[in-house]
Amino acid sequence: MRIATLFTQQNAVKTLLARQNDVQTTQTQIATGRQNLNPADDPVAAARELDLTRTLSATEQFQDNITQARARLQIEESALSGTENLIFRAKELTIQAANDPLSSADRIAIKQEVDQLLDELASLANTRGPNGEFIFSGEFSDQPAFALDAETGRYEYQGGINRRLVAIGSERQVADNDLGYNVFSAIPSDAPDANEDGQRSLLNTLTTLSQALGGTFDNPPASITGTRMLRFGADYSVNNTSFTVTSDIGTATVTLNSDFNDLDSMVQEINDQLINNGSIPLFGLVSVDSGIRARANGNQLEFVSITPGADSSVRIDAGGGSFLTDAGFNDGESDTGVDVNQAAIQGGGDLSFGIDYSANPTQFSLSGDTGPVDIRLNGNFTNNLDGPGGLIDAINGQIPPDSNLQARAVNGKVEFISLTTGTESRVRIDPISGSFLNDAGFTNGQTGSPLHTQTNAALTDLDNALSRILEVRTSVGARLRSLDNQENFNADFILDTQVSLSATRDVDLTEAITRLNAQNVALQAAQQTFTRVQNLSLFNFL
Amino acid sequence: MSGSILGIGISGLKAFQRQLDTTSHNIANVNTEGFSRQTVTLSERDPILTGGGFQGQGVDATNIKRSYDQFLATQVRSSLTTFHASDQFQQLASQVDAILGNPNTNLSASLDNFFNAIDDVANDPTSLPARTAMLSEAEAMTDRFGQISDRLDQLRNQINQQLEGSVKDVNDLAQNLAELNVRIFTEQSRARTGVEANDLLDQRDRLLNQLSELVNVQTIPQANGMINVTLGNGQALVLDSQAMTFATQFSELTPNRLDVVQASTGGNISSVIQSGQINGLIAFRDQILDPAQQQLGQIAAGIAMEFNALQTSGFDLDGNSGQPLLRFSGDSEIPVIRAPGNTGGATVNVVFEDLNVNPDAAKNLDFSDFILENTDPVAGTFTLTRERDGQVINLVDDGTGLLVGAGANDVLPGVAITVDVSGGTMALNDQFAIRPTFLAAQKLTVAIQDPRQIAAATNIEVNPTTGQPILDGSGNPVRVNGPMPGDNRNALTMASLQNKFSLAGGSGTFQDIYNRLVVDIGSQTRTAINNATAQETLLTQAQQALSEVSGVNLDEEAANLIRFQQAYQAAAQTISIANSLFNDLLGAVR
Repeated sequence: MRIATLFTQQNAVKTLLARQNDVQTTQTQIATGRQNLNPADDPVAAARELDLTRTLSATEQFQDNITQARARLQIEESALSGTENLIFRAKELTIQAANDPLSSADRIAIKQEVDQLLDELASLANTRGPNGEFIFSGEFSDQPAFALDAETGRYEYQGGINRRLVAIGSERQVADNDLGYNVFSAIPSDAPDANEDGQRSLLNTLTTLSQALGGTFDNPPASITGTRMLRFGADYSVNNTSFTVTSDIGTATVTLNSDFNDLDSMVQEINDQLINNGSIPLFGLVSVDSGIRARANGNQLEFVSITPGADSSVRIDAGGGSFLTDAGFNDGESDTGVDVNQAAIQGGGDLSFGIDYSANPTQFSLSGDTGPVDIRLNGNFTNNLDGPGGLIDAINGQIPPDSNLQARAVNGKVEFISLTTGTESRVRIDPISGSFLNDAGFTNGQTGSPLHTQTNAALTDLDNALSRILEVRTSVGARLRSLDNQENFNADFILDTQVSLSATRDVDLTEAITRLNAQNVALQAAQQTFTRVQNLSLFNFL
Repeated sequence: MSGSILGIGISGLKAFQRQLDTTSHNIANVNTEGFSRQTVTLSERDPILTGGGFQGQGVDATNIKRSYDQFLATQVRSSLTTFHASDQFQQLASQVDAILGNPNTNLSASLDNFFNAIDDVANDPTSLPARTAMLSEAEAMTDRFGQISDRLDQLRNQINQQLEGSVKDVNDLAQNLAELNVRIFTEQSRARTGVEANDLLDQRDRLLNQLSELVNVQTIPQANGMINVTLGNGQALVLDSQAMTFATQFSELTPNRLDVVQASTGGNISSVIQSGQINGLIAFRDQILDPAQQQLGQIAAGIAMEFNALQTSGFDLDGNSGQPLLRFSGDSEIPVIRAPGNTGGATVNVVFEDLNVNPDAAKNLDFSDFILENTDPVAGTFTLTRERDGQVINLVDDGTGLLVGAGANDVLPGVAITVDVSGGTMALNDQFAIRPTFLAAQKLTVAIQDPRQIAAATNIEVNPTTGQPILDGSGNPVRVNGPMPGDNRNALTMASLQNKFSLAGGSGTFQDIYNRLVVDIGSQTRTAINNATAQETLLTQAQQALSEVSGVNLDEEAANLIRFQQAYQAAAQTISIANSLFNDLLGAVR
């Protein structure tokens, strides 16, 4: 075989370059720490690296999300714990206040503490999160959850309707807050000023309690509240709507035909019509005050009668258009007011069919704001509870007018009321002989006063609120636990992913350095042989 | 007698002189690329009949031949062609591979950052810094799309320049070959039959090799010594003394795409060039560059469609309906090129479909240009041809100018096409090139500047206790018509787009499609590198085989030098012997 001198030389140079290239590649691998310098080196590994990097980045973001969610939930947890302690103290105070032998000065002292508690509760309900956001305000996190309504003197919920979810895993979301509405507002209640759904907010419970302790017993008027969010008004400029509201005074049909940007402008327009376009059918009056007012209750619309107490009623009926749906009222929804400023005690027994005391007379004493009155019953009142000469008549006949007491039948039950109103209003029943208390379902020494009504309602409500707070705390605790679990899971996952990523991406340094040495040796050998071989020439010997 | 010795000796001296000359020519050309080693053919002179039989008369140098093997030379040329095709392809593909795969320049990291920034907005949608960061990351992402796209565009320009240069080289080489043909013919016709102009032939082979690097050629030797050169399939390049001229020309319906054409007829011969560097350029453009740019555009368009759909159905920090987050810069969202040959004056507008109208639009996006052609102006029917594979979709005007699929299987590729006849009618066979994804990555920009405009909220009203949405009479969720600053539900949905199988018929997320692109380009590059390496080995083998025949070996030449010198000295000795013989004879008679 012939060997061409030029070709040998070129070939030797090419081989040298190839060896240098090997060394260079390995050197770059070691310097960058990467096994594959370009996707072409191992396309599948390249895609895997991109995938793993993305997973890693997303999971690290989840860890950030968890940190933030935990910060918020921990703040919520401490706010709830504060609320719980506050409720305990409020209960103690309520029980103290319910004790009869309390002087008015004592009551005022208690009231002052209740007021403090109310302020404290308002600030707890308006707790801010790590970024200054109000944690109980839902999506209106830049506004306090509860604000004092100047008109009613009560706190209204004005936060959002939606809990915020945070992604803590690829398929896992956790709420990092709770709505003030659910935590503080929608508490089941039997109180006279509970709304038509039987709910009263914890803040209102304390407000009412404080007012009662201060001797103010406002008879709550009838009111109905829409369930829908009307905070930002509604647009009726295209499709008009109308509805009819009826109160104990009159009625009015309201027509809305413009675009309202907020609830206040809507309330103003409705009130204009309620005040000026009402009618009182009985008297044939038109264009007068219907006796109803619309009010903005944070996010919702309320209709309130201007009459206080038990005589008050309000009712809404659908007209044309979508108003009732938009505002969240049912057609025909109604409410009546309650009197709370008069002491009353009611028996638990049903005496609808009367009772016979002719054989075994009975005697008991009633006391109001004046001294006790003894009542003796010894007739046959069978089938005559409140008819002429009936049981009620017999009792009322024995009550002197100056004692300011009165008996009446309410749904077949006997009720004693004080005709005095306010703080002095009081009624108490004590047994003397016979079975009347037992028959009518009174307890010995049963006492009624407006304050009692309120303290009893407050105690029930505080218990309901306490169990609500407990529920929420449990839920927050469970969420905090799942954050911990997810965080651990994510951390393991990050570690595993990093291991996989390292195996996919990183160069094995031991192997690479060994390889570099071998390649260096090969390069040196090639260089040395090159000079040796190139020196061989017959011309050297000529 | 001595006259004969003298004559014979001189013939030897002359012949060996010629051999020594040729050897030194060989030595002188040891480093000349493409030089074929030459040897002197010696033959004995015709003898003279004497009484003692036929008396030899010495030697003649009858010819100088080059050591050459036609078969091996052809093999070298064909190896040169395939090697340069795969090497060119490999070099360019490696660049794209590096652009897409480099951890510092690839799209992945900016996608990750963008989605993480959305998560931060979801964590606290009221936070302006988080919103600003999200917009910045969106800008970083669109910038990254733009940068990658720009790099690909630079490669395209580089290819275009290289194509122009290579075609010019082909023309020059063809011209030189034609001229050499003429010279070889002239020179050889002056000589005896069988005597070849060795060094001119070497020159011609060198030109042929250079030509083979660019395009695949075939040679047809002619009896007169000339050589005809054709492109692989028979397209003539050099016919005797005539050289054809090629040129480059931009494609009508695909701007910035160069075709190789025949200068005289304008006929496109791009597809005829099946190997060589020019083919490497074209193949790279068609198999790597265009698909990469189209798929990048597909991802960009998909991201824009998904985010804009969520943005426009959501509400911003001030309670206003969201505006599109991303848009495509330039006059039109999707470039449409009207074919110059259209006889009608109608124009066509194309935009990406709204996902709120057609939820499958992003899935239907393709990575190809499309040709819209009118098939019946009266019925308003069209065909939409997908350029990457020629698949045809039948469309029909719905009466308003909007084109809809003619049948259930005729699904538009994520775009809405409207025909505008206000400027003229649509004529039969009027054509429009539609490029939905080609420039999408380059044109993608962030449309909003104000971080408050990020629509993180859905404003869907829910029952606060149950968390269930409130539905209107038609069963659609009711939306609150005002600012819900802490509502992060839309932001959560945006963040979850990271894992949504949005693209390619619902088969992959944005990242998946990008990964597929990286793997695809990576695999092709790897194959190309392997091919180039294999071709290089084959080329080296062919060159070695040829060099074994034609190459100069200095040792051999040195040995020859000694051999010819010795022969020369011997021949000179015979002259000296003849001289002494003559003197002997003179001395005898003195």
